[in-house]
Amino acid sequence: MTCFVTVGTTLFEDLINKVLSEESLRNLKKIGVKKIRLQIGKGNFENEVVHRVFKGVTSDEGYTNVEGLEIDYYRFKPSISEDMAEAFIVIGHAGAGTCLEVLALHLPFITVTNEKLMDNHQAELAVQLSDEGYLLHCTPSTLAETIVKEDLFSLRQFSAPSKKFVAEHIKQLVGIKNV
Amino acid sequence: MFFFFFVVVAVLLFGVLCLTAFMAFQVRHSNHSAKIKPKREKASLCAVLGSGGHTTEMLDLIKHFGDEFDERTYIIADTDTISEEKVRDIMSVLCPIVLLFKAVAHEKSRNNEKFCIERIPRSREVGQSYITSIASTFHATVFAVKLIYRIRPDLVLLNGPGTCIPVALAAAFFDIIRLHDTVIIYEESICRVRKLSLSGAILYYLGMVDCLIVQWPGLKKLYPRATYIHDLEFKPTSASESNSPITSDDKKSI
Repeated sequence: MTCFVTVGTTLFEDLINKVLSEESLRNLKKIGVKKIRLQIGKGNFENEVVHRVFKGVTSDEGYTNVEGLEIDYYRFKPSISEDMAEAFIVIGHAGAGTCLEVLALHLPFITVTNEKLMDNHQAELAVQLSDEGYLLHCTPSTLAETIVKEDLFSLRQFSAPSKKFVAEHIKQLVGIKNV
Repeated sequence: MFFFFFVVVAVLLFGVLCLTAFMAFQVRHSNHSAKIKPKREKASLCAVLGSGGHTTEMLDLIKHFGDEFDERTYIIADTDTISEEKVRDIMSVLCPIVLLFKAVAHEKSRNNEKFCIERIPRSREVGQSYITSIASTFHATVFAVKLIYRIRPDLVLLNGPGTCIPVALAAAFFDIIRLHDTVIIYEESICRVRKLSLSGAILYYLGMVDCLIVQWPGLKKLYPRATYIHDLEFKPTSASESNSPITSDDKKSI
């Protein structure tokens, strides 16, 4: 029962700090999470989190155990697909690539928008997808309450539109004989 | 006096000629006119690859094309101006290269030796101001015209990066002067939900694309001439195989 948290290549300290806040940890345990794996990107943990969760030591990667929750983190990996596939829920930044990758795996997914980024057009996709009920969407300050929303486990399954028909249409426009 | 009058008339006539040619181009390429085209078996393809996400989406489309597109050209934006900041962010440098290798691997897996990769200068860096980007777009257009003149593609696939504008202009130019028939397709990224990207909007309002594919219904409402991707699924086509359901392979390979 792993919860995978990813910020992609962006700097998003609010997300990694809020996931490790007392309230979020409590709520994650409530829904059955036993292990949290964080991909923290360029960001760093807050002092409060460093002391409470990691007992004062953090570096580029590490491991700790808090009240029965295993937590490990790293900055970057060439491919986070395996970590994603192993997870039971995913919490991530609202980047389009991340959204589509997680939705292709049909996992319960919470996207968190960075309020500090002005004109974040990547978040458009996340908002649209959450309006249609494929994922949950929140901001760092509402993360803890979103985790315990019951919709999380009854999300619709998303399949990206197949490009096969587009290819057929294009062939028709070019005037290629259908063999 | 006579000379002045002559010049004015010449300019006016030239303007009318250009306008007529452009309107004829738009009629030939409008999405709704019935197309009577000579059927053929082979065509050449030219795809513009942009940064990370754009390339992924483009390759996702190209993998559905078979041997009918035997000559393929991939155009990538030249990244000779890698800034210091970008060097530090190793991911942003590696990603385009990785995707390029993906494109090459895709072609190699089809045993297709007839493909090539061309580079053209970027028309607009992320964050560049609009005024200086006009100058660099002009520079890129000259390059693109030379390139398109050399490869003469039957199909140009575009999906978003700024580099696609000069390529579209060049391809349209050779079509306007009736040198070569080119079908120009623009596919908007799935990330665009409420508004077309700048490149998409330019091509839409100039009427330069044969088909502008959008992936969300909101965009179709805002830009009625665009084609909504889900409408294509249920479109009765002349061929029988287009009715076959989406296989699970199709979905997984995303």
